Amino acid sequence: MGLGWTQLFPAHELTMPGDRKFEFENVALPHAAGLLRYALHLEGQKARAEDLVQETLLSAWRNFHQFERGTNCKAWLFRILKNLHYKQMRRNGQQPEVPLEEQAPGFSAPERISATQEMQEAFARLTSEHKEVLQLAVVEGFGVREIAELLQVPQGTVMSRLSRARTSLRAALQARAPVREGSL
Amino acid sequence: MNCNTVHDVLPLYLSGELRAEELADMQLHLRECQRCAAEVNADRELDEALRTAILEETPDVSAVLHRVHERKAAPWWKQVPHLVSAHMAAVVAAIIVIALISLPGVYVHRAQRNMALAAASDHYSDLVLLRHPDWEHTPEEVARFMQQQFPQKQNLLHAITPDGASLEKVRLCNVDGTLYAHFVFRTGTAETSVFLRAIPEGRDRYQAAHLSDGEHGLEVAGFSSSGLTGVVVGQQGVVPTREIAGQLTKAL
Repeated sequence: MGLGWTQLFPAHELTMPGDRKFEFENVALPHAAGLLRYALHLEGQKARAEDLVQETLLSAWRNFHQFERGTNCKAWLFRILKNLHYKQMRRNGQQPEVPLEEQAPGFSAPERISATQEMQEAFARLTSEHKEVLQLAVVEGFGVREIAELLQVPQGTVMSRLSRARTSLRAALQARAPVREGSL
Repeated sequence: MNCNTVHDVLPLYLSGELRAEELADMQLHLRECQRCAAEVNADRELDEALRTAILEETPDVSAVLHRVHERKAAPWWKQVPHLVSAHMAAVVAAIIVIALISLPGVYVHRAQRNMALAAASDHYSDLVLLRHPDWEHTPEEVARFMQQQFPQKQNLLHAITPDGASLEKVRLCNVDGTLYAHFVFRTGTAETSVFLRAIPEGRDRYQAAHLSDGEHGLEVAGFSSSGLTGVVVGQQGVVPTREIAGQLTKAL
């Protein structure tokens, strides 16, 4: 059984419905895992991704009064994270990192792997753009309009990018040609 | 809706963003076209498999949440984002230093403004409302007053008398907490107030500021010279306070 909210925070720090802290912990903090997944995609390193999520949540906490109740808190948090990431990159004069697997999409020798591992490896071989839209749409559940707003691109671009990303993922799965567990 | 259209709007269909009318068209086409229905099902299965695979390798967020919780509970100065760069810190530090350096100037400017408005109020109170009877009028009274208040300044009265004006009266008054000699000069029907006090060299010198006191229809101009400072007050548009202040600066 995973950690619940009451286990993450000491009992004396629990709050009651109606206060700002309670609302933040119930509306914003549950999206921490999704933020960390996206931060890992953007940063590539776990420690940096965790720092980015931490600053995102603290920034959201400081500006929580600006969050409109009833609107999509997850989308609001992802925008903060994306903005912080851009700021960091500009400050450091960095270009978006290109993971090694995109530079040289290698194919390891056939081995016994599960369907899940097969999918993870195929996904890892996609371009950064394709991984990003698939992660946001399929895993995080954002709509095309929300993704377009987050990435600052037209909706048509998101739609075509999603179509190409699914095609690429399917191709990567077929190219991997694994020997699945139980198939021998 | 045809097969090409279905392919185009498929991402919107999968994310549940199609409008009701488009959705009905799409569902109708999918019932009739096996190829498109298979494509939609294949994408759904692919999405589900991807979702499972990604969620399975999601890292534990409890460490981040603990850190967030600690920072939230920390005093405000410890909540300053770690992402603030050295560049930004330098800019903030520079702003603080500039603010500290300019604070005395701001204070003096504000004090000067307060004094000018108080002088305008005093001018109105003395000359329009006639609230104070303790004026020195006669030449003897004025001479004694000058000797008491400005013992080191010979011919001061002549120096501060505006061109074409004559002294009407003078009294000692409290303006914004400081004692000033309030001289009233008359030019025809216009009255000009000169508030004057001696100051140690280099201190509390009023700049050539010019303020309008719209409430009383007055205008005020500051002046200062070696050992003396003050303001000129007069009816707006009638008494050239700025010019008189300029003349006083040169004359004193």
